[in-house]
Amino acid sequence: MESIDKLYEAILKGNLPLAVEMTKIAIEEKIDPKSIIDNYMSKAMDEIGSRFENGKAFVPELLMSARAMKGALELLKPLLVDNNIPRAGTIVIGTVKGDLHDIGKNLVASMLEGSGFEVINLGVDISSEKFIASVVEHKANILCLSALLTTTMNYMKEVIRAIETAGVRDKVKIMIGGAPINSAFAKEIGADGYSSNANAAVSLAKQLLAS
Amino acid sequence: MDDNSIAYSEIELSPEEVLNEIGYGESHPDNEVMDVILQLLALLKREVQPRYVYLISDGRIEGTTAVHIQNHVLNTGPTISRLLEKSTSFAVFAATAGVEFERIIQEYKKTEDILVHYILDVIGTTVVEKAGDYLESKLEKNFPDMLHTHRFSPGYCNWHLTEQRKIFALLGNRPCGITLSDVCLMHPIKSISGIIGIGKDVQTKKYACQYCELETCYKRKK
Ligand code: B12
Repeated sequence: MESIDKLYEAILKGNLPLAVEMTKIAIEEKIDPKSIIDNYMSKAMDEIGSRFENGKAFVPELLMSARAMKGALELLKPLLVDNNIPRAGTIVIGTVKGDLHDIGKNLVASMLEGSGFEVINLGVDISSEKFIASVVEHKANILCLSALLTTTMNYMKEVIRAIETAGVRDKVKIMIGGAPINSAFAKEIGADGYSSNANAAVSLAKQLLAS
Repeated sequence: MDDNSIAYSEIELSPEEVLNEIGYGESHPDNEVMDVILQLLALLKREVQPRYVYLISDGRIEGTTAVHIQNHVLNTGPTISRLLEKSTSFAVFAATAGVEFERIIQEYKKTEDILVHYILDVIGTTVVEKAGDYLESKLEKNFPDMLHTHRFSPGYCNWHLTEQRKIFALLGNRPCGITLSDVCLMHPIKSISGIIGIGKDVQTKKYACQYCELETCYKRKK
């Protein structure tokens, strides 16, 4: 059982090799995979997230934890499938047409992956057609749109209208973000939510799927 | 027009400057973070080629919201116009971390490591900001008995992003190899454009959070 406490520490410290090693041992010890995730791994992510919110950890530490978490989750994935344990959900993410900014969106994608979501990252300069095709193909639960300029954020509205026209709006929640976005804009264009950083994006995603 | 490459040694980044841009303040990063920073900075030394360009022109402030330069009216908005008050001439500028830096970013994107991507992105921001500082220091050398304002950019304080077209027109459309897309995104991404006021009696105050309307900004001083 010692391995599992070390797993918590490994993820909190963002130590990928140690996290992988400890996960392997935990699996050999036949600890229930759902309990490994819920009681140790996710708790470590919650802790690093709260340190980030309180200015005690910074983006690099957040990313290192997410990276360790992702590596450990890879090992557990087959067990989750075997035991019919549902994944957190599927998310399609991309930066909207005309906009080439991708680091912020990639941070959000990494944190979501580190929280157990299946993430399809479409990249930058993505048209509404591509977003819709991907949402339909992957039966996505959430669509995440990113934009960093006031000139490109308006395209988000077009994407949402197109999703409505395609008849899939009631099947997918829509989250938006990027520097010039705020909750008033999200409301105005009919998105389901906005968050200002990658850490908060995870809580928002969980919240949207719980509602 | 003064269009120049900047030797990297002139703006060489220290690890502390990168940590500062990330937001560490007094805190210390994990060892791995420091290693990544040092590695990337060593690479930069060999490959990066920042550039700047500025055009000095007469001009006049029109009313409370615009600046007239040559045959262009820049609608800088009330805040920036006020900060430019008493300028007798203007430097219209652009600066970039360079196409070489953009190439490095594209190369690293092929690797999966988000930590490295993020730190490289922050480094790019720091390079272009320092290129901007370097440009200001050149102005000081070239106009020793004048003062200059802080640098102001379209996209801030109600100076609309699309006004970048006028800046690009004044600078000959492809300054330092930077291109402007139809939604007014500059390429390479790590580029800046804008205006600086010059005069004997201008305000030299830094542009600060108090003027900016981005309330959700993670850099905002509380
Ligand atoms: C650093 C910076 C720069 C750097 C680097 C830019 C870059 N993109 O790489 C430099 C100095 C080059 C620069 C240049 C310019 N900039 Co600038 N820049 C910034 C600054 C300070 C931070 C951006 C950043 O890198 N953040 C870090 C990354 C990781 O965060 P992020 O991308 O925002 O993503 C996070 C969140 O937004 C969120 N998020 C992102 N996507 C999504 C999606 C979903 C679904 C969710 C839930 C969350 C989410 O989570 C992410 C991770 O935490 C912002 C202000 C700010 N506080 O954001 C202005 C800002 C983006 N810039 C702005 C402007 C105007 C410009 C220029 C046009 C100015 C000019 N004329 O020179 C140029 C344009 C450059 C170009 N290529 O066209 C404006 C844009 C607003 C507008 N009017 O459109 C901003 C908002 C500043 C402001 N006060 O208004 N900039």
